[in-house]
Amino acid sequence: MAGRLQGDSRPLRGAPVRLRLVAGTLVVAGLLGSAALGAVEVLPRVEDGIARDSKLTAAERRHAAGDRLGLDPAPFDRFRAGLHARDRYAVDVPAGAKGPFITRGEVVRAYSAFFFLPAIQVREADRVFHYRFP
Amino acid sequence: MRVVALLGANALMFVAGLGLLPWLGVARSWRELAARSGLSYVCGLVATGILAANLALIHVSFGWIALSVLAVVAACTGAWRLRGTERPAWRRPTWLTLAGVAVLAAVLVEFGRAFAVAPLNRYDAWAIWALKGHALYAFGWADPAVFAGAEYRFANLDYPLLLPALEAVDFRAMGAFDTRVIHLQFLLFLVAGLLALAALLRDRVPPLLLWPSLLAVALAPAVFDQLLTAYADLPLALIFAVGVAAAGRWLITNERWSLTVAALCFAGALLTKNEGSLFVLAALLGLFAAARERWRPLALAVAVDVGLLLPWKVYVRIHDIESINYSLADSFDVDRISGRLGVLRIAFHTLGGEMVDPLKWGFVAPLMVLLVIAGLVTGLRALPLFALVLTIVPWVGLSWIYVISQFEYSSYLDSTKERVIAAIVLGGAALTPLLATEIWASALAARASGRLRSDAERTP
Repeated sequence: MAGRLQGDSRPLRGAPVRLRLVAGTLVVAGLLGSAALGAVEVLPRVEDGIARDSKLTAAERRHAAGDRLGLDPAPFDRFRAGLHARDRYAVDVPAGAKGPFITRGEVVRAYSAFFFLPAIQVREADRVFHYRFP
Repeated sequence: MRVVALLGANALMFVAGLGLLPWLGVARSWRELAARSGLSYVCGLVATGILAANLALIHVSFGWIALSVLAVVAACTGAWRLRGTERPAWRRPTWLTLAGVAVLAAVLVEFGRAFAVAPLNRYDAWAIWALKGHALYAFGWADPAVFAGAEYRFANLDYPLLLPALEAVDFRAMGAFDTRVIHLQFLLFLVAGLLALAALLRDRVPPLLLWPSLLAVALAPAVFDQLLTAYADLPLALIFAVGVAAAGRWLITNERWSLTVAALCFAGALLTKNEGSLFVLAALLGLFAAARERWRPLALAVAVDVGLLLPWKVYVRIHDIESINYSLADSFDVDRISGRLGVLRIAFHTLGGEMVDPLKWGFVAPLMVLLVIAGLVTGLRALPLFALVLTIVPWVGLSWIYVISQFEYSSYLDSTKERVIAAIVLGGAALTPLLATEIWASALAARASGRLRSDAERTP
C-alpha cells in the first residue's frame, strides 16, 4: 500500500484467510449493529422532541430555562421591561435551599445574568431586581 | 429568515475553509481540492472560531463583514495558489458511497427538524455558552464587565471563547439573539465533523468500512442527545475526533498536510474547553510515543497550538480569572488528596462504564479496544499505541479531576460523566476504520511475504 509507514518493519504475523474474513465481517457487522441500535434508540426521541418542542409558544421558549428551574417568569419579565443595554443592576434574593453545587439564590442570580443581558449584573447598584421564592 | 442567515454564515465559513486548504497544504491542485473539499467546512469553522475568539480579546467584533472578507480573501488567494494545476476529473461514485451519503443525509435532515425547534433550557447551555455568545454579540468583544465580572463567576469564566465566538457570529448574522435557531449550529458541527472524517478516510479505508463507521457516529444516541443540549462537549469531541483522524493518517502516511489539519483541529479543541488541553496533551503524547523520530514537525505543531491559545491565557492572567471547578495545584495538597484517593478508582470505573454503554455510544468503544488488541497482536505499533495513549491518558486525567475538585464528587461525577468522555469515544471512533484497514493490510502483506518466502524455499 503506497505511503504505508507505521514506523515498524518487523515481519507481521498473518492469520488464516478465513479468520481474517470472519474478523472483517465482525467489524463491519459491529459498526452496522451499532448504527442500528442507535437508530432504534434515537429516532423515537427525535420524533418526541419535535412533537413536544414545536408546540412551544414564544413566551415558553423565552422562559424555557427558568421553567426548567421552577422560577416564576413574571418578575423577570417586569424587571427586564425597564432595562437598557449596559444598565447596571443588582439582585436581591434569599440564599434558599442548597443544591448539589450552588444554592437556589445563586441559581436565580445566574439566570438573571443570562436573562437580563445586555444589562450587566453587579454586586451593588441603584436598580435592584428582587426575587422571592414562593 | 434567521435560519437562512445562519446557514449563510456557515456557507461563508465553508468557503473560507475551502480557500484555506491550499494554504494548509491539503490541496496542491484543483484535483486535490475537489477530493479533499470535505475538510473545508471543519477547517473554516475552526479557523473562524479561533480568529473571532482571539479578536474578541482586543475589542474587534467579528460579523458579516469580517466573515465575508475572510471568505473572499481565503478563496481568492487559495485559487491563486492553485492556478495552472491539475483539474479535477469526474469519477462515478460507488453504489456504497451513494447509499452511505443518502442515509447520512436522511439522518441529518431528520435531526435538523428537532434542532430547529429545541428550546435553550439546559443549565450550562444558557449559563455558560449562550450567555457568553450573547455578551460577545451585544458588546462586540470580551468586555471584562461580564467576562471577568465577579457576578459572572458561575459562567466558568476561565473557559476559552471559540464556541461563544461562533455563536456570536451567528447572532450577528441573524441580527438577533435567537435561542432557538442557534441549535442548528450544533447540528452543523456534526455535519462538519462527518464531512471531514469522510474526506480524511475515504482514500485510506474501503467504503464498506467507512460508511458504517460514520453512521455509527452519527446515530450514537449520545451524539444526538448531547448536541441538542447546546453544550460544548460534543463540538469539542467532534473537532478533536477530526484532529485524531488526521493525526492517525499522518502516522500511517507521513503526509505533512494531515499533521497540519490535526494541529488546526487541536488548536480548535484547546480554544473550545479547558478539558480540550487534556485531550490534546494525550494526542500529542501519543504522537510523540508512536513517531518519536518525526519529532520536528510535531514540535512545530505544538508551538502553533500553544501560540493560538496564548492570547486567551494572557487575558485570563491579566484579569486574574480562576476556575470555580478545580485547580490542578490541588494535586499537591497531599493531606486533602490522600483522603480522596478512593474517588480515583470510582471515577475511573464510572467513566469506563459510560464509554462502553451501548445505549449511549453503541459499540464504538468496544470495537476500538478489540482493534487495538488485534493491531498489537498482528504486529502493528504506531496506530494502536496512539489509540491507547489517546484513551488512557484523558481517562485517568478526567478521573483525577474528580479527586481534586472542590465539589462533592458523586454529584459532580453524576452530572458530568456522560459528556466528559465524549472526546475519548469519538477520538477512538475516528481511529477505528483506520485501525481496521491497517490490520487488514498488514495481514495481507504478511500473507504475501509468506507466499514469497515459501516460493523461494521451493525454488532450487
